[in-house]
Amino acid sequence: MTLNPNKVRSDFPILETLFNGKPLVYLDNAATTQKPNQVIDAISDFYRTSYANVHRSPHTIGSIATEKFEGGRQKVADFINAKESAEIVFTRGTSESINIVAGIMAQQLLKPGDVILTTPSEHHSNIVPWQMAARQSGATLEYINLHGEGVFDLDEIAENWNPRTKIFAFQHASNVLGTIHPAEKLCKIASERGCLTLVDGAQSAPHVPLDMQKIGCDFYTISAHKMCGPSGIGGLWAKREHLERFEPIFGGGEMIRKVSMQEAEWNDVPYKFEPGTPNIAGSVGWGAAVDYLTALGKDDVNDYVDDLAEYAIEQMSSLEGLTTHGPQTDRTGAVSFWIDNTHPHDISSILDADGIAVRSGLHCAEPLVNWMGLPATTRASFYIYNTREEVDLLVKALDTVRMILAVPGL
Amino acid sequence: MSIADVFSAVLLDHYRYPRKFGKMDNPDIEMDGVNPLCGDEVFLQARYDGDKVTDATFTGKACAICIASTSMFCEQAPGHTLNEIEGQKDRLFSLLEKKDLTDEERKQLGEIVSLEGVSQLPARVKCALLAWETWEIMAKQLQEGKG
Repeated sequence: MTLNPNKVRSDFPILETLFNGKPLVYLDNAATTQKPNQVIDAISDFYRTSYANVHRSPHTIGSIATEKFEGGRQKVADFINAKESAEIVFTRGTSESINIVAGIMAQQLLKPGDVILTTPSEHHSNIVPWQMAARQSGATLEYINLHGEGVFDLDEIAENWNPRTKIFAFQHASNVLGTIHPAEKLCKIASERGCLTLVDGAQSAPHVPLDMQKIGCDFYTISAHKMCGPSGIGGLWAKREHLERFEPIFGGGEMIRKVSMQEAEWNDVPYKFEPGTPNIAGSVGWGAAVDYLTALGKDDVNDYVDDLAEYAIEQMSSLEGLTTHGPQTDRTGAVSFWIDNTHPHDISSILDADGIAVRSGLHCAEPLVNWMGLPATTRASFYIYNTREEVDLLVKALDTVRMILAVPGL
Repeated sequence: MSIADVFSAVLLDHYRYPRKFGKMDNPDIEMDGVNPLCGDEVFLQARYDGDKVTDATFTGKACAICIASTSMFCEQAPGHTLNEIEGQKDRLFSLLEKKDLTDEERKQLGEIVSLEGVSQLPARVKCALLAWETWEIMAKQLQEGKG
């Protein structure tokens, strides 16, 4: 069965809205995805019928809310094939998930002279927390090399391995290039050398079928809003042994079992990492998003977006002076491109006037864009509701961009 | 106004053939202006005789709107006092905020009036202001140095 984009489109009410007098061509999915009725309705219904605080409420509605909230956690756990829902710590998103792990490492694991390893291809959210952890712990932050179109060399990583490396944090997929990295092999290299691994799954979770039992990492981080779920909720998956072993870095209600004037006893996992009232409706909405993607078929989602991105690269490359970046095939829907003598911000403004929403700039990945030797890129990122017709509209609009901005004689 | 009108002939001329593009020897002041959200970057240099700006140049990598606005700044600033330049910046702010300007004010803006269409693109106003906001910091330093 293949994904039917027209059927999918009918689930997304925002696609019927006009912007600048034109139907929305939404190609900024690597930043955030739109929401289907199934998710909007689940959140709305929850607030209408079942909302209360979770876990400690003595009343019936509190029990109903708790059941739905924990139901969302179970759905997310099933979606990534976690062993149990307790392995999912709810956070505000990937950034917070990485910050929690980096904070724990800085406080509880890293010693002066230890090494944190990451890559120049990362989103700032997988660089800056590690810079902070390095400063706090006296560890050094080191980077592997990028090759070709931004890929990693596994042999080189293994050969150059510093035995003091305590954690290797890397992205599963690039938000700029659309590259899907071989997470399993990378985790194997690290774990064979006694190093913990954190995989940033913000860009992969919406595309790549995930299996926490196969990938071999210690921590995996995801955001609901990039996979049709609500903003403001995400997850940190970790093996139970890690959640048991490490201490929480944030304190508050919910995360404790017992509190005296001087000390506190932590609650069970995952609650000991979830202080305060959680994003209750967020879990319900994320659960609905997971149901939605599961019903479409994870492999079908992956195949459809990959195929559409390949079509876009093929069509865009036919334009003179336009270069696409990243892999041609086996990729996510994020396609960065450059048009000679034309700045990405001007491209995105002109496309916007045609109702086409793309992103331009550094994409929160300044070291990567610098490595590419560009001041910025324009990025069209595709998802399940985009179509070949929309790609054709994009290509036509890019031709208009060239007509408006082309530099004569260059 | 269509998007093609935003990128007016005058704006695009400054973008394609930026005036005063390059580095100067012995500037009295220089500063890097960066827009961290989008990566626009202009490096402004100027000479100042204690009363007026005598020369201004720039280098950088930025979008058409930012390059054009910076080019106009560097072309217009020489021969003017810090107060006069600040007045011009205020008029540019008003133009981009779609405030009514008198004919006299429009005349004073000169080619900068060609940036008017940018007011239709709220997300891009910051591009047109980068050089002028960078200059604001530089002017303050010049004034402090003078005092």
